Amino acid sequence: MGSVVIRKVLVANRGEIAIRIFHTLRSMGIQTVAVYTDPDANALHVRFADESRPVSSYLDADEIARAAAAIGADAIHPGYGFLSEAPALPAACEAAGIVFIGPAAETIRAMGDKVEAKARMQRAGIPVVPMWPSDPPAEEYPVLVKATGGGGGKGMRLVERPADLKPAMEAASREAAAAFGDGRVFIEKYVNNPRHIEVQVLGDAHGNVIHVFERECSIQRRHQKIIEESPSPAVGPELRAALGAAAVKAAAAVSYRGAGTIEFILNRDRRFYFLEMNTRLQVEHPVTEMTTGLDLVWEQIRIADGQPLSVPQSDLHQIGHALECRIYAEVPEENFRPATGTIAVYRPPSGPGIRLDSGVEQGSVVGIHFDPILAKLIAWGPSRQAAIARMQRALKEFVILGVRTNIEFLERVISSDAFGDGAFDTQLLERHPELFQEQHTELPPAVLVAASLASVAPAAKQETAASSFKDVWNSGSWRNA
Amino acid sequence: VSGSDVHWQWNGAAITEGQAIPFRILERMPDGIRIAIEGRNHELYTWRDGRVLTVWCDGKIYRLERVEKRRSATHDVHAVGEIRAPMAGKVLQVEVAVGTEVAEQQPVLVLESMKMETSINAPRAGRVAQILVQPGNVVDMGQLLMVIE
Repeated sequence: MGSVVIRKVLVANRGEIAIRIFHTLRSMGIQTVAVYTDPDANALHVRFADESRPVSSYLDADEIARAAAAIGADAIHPGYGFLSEAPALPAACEAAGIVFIGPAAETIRAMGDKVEAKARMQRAGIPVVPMWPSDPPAEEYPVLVKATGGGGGKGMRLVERPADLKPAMEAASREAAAAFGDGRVFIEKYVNNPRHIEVQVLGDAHGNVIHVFERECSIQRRHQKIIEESPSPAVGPELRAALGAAAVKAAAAVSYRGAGTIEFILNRDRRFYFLEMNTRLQVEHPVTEMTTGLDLVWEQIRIADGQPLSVPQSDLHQIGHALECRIYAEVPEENFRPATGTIAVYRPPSGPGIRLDSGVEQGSVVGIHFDPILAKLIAWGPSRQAAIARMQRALKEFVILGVRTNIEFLERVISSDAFGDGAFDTQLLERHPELFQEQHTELPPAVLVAASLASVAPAAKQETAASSFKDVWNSGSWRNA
Repeated sequence: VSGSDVHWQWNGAAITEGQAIPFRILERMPDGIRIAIEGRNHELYTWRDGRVLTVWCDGKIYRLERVEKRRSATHDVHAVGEIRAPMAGKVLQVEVAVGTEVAEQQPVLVLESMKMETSINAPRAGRVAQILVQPGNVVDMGQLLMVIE
């Protein structure tokens, strides 16, 4: 690699994505700086960095830019969520003389305004989903209320009847204001049974724009993705070429610089429509990395540094198949209620084709303050079937106790016929309530042994105190029968 | 396995006591154990929180509930009009006041957890007798929020 002027980068994020970015920075010989708020003072990402700084909020652009300047960082990487799509951060960076690793503030603003973004894409000749600022015609229902200033399912509501529109807009607006600091909402035509397919794009400061193929993101709960894959089982060579060309056209229309994602919805007739552009790294970017060999964070930093893209379009190929499962602290069987607690046991899986981007470890406290994502488990295989088999194996080896997670649920979903045949859409979970039922109906003798051993734990332990096997083994009061 | 004075329930059924399961310990780990039963290897991790013992066994999780000899009536019996927090979170809005007549399933409170809003509905029709929280309060799972008479 050439001479990199970026020597120290502050990552304005937390959890698994902060750590994933640190990994690439380290491999480039760049110093790493973490920021943290009070509940995160002992978080894994803080200890993983070379240096760290407390901030009052992950959402205060000026404070974070000042922290970067004070610690001598040359650049800020925003990760995803938080300030990643807030024009305030590149603006604050510019004021502080710091490089922002991402597109221009104006691009973020224009694409972050979902209404303006669609208008611009429509002008560029890309098909878009119909939308209204308020009160759509009654015959257009059902409709989706969406946040003008953000994505990720936050501030989104499905509305079936005109009478439900006002309360839905109010709730969505509150949620959007809390998540993005922008309470504006708009209304979009709800497309029945679509697939969500997005295309990764990269653009550099020299006017080069390429696409890095598609990701299938149709498996969602509450409008949030939980399983993603690449390539999409719904996309053949012809559709792939059309999606890629549209994505490059869309990115070029806004002179895009950095890593970005064009989200499309694909209807039953295999027609696709522009949904939105995410002007940042996506949560699910690892499936693209696993199938193309690119390191998208490395590309982002090169682009921010003014270097050209490392590869031309013609050198990019999809090899094999990759899946990502998002490990959330939640109880799918109880309407996906968020779960909290302290991780008492943590045994991550490994082995051929497995990548784990994790933000937690044994002892990590999972609180109510942040998004419940704990880790992302990624499996690569030479075929979709092989990737699924590896993912099943890895999920079955992944132990997290102390906080309830969706690990078993994910395993049921990827093992289902509905997922396996690849013919699903965004309604897969709604159509298969059986996936929410735990399937083990017999208690194995080994569990009885464990229960019995746990029962003879020292009685002095208070009822409320959590105890693990360690206490049992160290107590000396158990007996090998 | 020798019997103990603690009983566990799983899926509502009592686990038979006193049955002997011969096992051999293969490996003790800081947080778990590997055992063999009739030559078959099992990997086990447990975590205990109050009355619930969570057992991870070979890729599946089993949640066992400890059955207590003496039950405290106040803890177990929730009056039908009690509204408790279904999750830890922050009270965002209280939609009713003491004295408000509510219909069954009427939203009475909005709770936010991990940036998601959840509307809490009245479990039955009646009059709001007590409101124990106000917007901004951080509540634990199971905490009493409101009482409806």
